[in-house]
Amino acid sequence: MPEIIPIPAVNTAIFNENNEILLTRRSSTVREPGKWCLPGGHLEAGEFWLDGAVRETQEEVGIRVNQAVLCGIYSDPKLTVSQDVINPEGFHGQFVVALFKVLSYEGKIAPNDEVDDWDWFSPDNLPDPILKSHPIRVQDAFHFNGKVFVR
Amino acid sequence: MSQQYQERPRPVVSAVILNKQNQVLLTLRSQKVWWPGKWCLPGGHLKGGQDWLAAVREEVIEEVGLEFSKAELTGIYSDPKLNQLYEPKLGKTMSFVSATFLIREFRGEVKLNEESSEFGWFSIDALPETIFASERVKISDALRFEGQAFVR
Repeated sequence: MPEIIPIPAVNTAIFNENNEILLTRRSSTVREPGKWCLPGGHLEAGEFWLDGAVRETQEEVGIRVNQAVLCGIYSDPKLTVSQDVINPEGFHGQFVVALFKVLSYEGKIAPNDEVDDWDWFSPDNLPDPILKSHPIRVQDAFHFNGKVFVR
Repeated sequence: MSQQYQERPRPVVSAVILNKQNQVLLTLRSQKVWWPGKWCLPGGHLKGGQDWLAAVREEVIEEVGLEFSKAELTGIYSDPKLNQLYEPKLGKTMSFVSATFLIREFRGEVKLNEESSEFGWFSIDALPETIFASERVKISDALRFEGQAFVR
């Protein structure tokens, strides 16, 4: 069994006025292409959690997050350990994630090359295939009432 | 390991364990670990394959011998001013991200492993001088916690 390395990462949950959530479809330039997911990515060394979430959201979907609140942290190895080894040295990444619910943003959705499609989805009607760790995050963001989920 | 992953931030957990007098349990780091002579909260690395709560449970039992049934998330931290530390033995700066948990009820007597040389219960206004600055923030947040975890 290759080594498992925990890697801090961020996701954002962005809802429209109909309470639908923004998901993107992963392009062939990234791992697990073709699967739907929340915007997000790695936290950089020395970066504030929230800054990482704002940066990744801006890079991936082109919108500027103005206000966001932490709604969950995730590390369940059954869901967060990468299926494949993620670099030539051959280890699995365990994505240790902080999920932020976006309360306000500006700009139009304009995805980068990591995304080949995007849409708004009702939380009870999510697309398939979706990253296996993400349905629970969508539900948590939808139901968030101030108490941060720890999973 | 590639440079990118060597320099990645390392996730750690910290436990703010309070006794009935609202004093916090701190340990003095021994010569066997990084940053000897510093006071800190019980805690340590989240190991690959562990989840946050398993990590805090394991670190608390290993380092101070206490068991608990409830731990509340009070904050997540990555402020580089507080969470990037130069380690002289390694000759490099390490980046950490932390999840901190508040524990008010526990079982057992404090029993240290070789990572600590001393422990004490401290009130918030009398923390030891050589405590990590990051721990002061975590402790103060945990004492002010009212349900919404801090993000710093």
